[in-house]
Amino acid sequence: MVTGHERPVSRHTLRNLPWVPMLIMGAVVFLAIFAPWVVPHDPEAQSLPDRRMPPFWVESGSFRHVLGTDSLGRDILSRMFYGARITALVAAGALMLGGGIGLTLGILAGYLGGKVDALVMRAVDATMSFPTILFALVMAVALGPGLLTIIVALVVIVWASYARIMRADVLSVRHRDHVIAATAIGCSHFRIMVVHILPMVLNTFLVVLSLNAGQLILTEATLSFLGAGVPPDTPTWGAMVADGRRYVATAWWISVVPGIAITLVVLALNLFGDWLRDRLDPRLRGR
Amino acid sequence: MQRYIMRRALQGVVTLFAVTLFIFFFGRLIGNPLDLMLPDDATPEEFQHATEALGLDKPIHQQLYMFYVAALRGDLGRSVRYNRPVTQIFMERFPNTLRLAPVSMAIAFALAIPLGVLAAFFRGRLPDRLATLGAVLGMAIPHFWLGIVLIYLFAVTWDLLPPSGMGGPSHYVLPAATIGTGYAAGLMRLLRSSMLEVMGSDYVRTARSKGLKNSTVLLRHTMRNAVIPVFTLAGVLLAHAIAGALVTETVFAWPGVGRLTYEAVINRDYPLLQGVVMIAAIFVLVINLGVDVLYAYIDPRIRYT
Repeated sequence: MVTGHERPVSRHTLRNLPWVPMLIMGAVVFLAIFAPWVVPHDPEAQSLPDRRMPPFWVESGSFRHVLGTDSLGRDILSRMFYGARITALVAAGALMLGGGIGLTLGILAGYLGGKVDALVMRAVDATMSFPTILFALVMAVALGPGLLTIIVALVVIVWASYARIMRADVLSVRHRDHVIAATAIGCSHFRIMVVHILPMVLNTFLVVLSLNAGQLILTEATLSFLGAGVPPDTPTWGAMVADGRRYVATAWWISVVPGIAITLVVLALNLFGDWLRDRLDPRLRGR
Repeated sequence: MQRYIMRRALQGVVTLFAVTLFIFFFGRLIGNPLDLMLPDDATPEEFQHATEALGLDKPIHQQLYMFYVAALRGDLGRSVRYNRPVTQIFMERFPNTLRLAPVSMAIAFALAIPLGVLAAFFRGRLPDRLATLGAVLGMAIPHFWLGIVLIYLFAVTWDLLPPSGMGGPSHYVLPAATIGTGYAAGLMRLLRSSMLEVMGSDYVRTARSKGLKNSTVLLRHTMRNAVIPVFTLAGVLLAHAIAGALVTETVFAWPGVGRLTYEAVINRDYPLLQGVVMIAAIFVLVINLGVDVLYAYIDPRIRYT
């Protein structure tokens, strides 16, 4: 893709990659896939004598439960590994679905214009002018617990920002010479959108997708913290923080440890998104 | 200008209609509120009677029509849980949320303005890096978790502040700090980039070449213009105060609208949920419009048609 901003490939390229964010993201993906084989304990196994055991570095902690146990004696590290699985699954699902819908509607609105444009943009305005967490909460509770519920609730709130940015990007390329040429030789609208416009806006799409991923995970964590959408006892990071709330005076680690995981992952995604934007599409800075 | 306001207001009404429609239909999916309201051993007759009393036996479009007609008269129905008018409950809780908002915003500005100015002034050097790192971190930390960590540190470990509830001034510190630091991250980043933009402009160079002191240029010439988008964002953030307070108020057991919304969802209290969300939506739309109009007064370069 010619953006005019590409730097020459040099031996410094490898060093300039955002290694730390990529390592964190890689770890989450790895744990998401291999959780059942790497967990030290069964994440559901309760053991009341072992309940609220502190992490190993705290007095009376042990290496048997490296990050301690929760109020039912379940191993926190193992639950975190399984939590990574849910986080990754929900984020990937919501990003692909929401991104796909936003991209499609954005291209349609930007290319076709007129009534389609007006309709899509009104829907975008309505969605964006409203506090998203309320939307998600209402939907998550309405649809009943389940992973699909969380994904759908997240899709409903993210599609609009993709649609708006993709529409703006399409408007900037739809009068380029090659699009006019394609129209002149009688290409169908569908062909023009897919073959001549989509590749031009793909960079922006990828950047926006990665910039939004962190926010998405935060929203997912918030929903599961509030107990909306996740089936009870499912080890999600947000639900684990909620679990420990009552024991904050006696067993701080139950809440604190999963919260650190959320922060690290969101931080990694945001930094990676920033890096990707600077690399692929610096025009998006500040948007 | 008047035409612009009219058009925006009209758009707002359409948006509001869409929002209420969404809430109405999804609210119905949450489940039957009677399951929670009536005792487990309620007879079918009692069930039937309660259903009729709430109008839940009517066709859904009729329920929607009744909802809108009543809403136009300022009646948002009665809460199923509290058996009191929704508007009344809302008005009891709303002042508590409003009380928290200025304190949160003050904390946000106290953090964001000095840090944003410093970061822009020392662009690329250590203060900038530290401030930017802080902002990046502030955007990544989940609010609900920050609240719990603050409770653990300041209430449990050091015993300096009350952990939850509403009371004297000390009760405001932790919840306001939780909300405020979240605001501060976005505001600081915006102020920094807006300062950098203004610092590159011609009139700032002129001011500098006149030999004015750095601090004068920074505070009198640059800040004044750079702060406009920051105020816009602050307005938008305030408009979302109800939703933004949802998590924080739940964590700190603060008796505001945010916690009320959460309780409404948990208790499947349709009328309450509809009412609160509708008022929140009106609030957001009016403040957004207000900010845009105010914007035109602050900055004479902006003219709407």
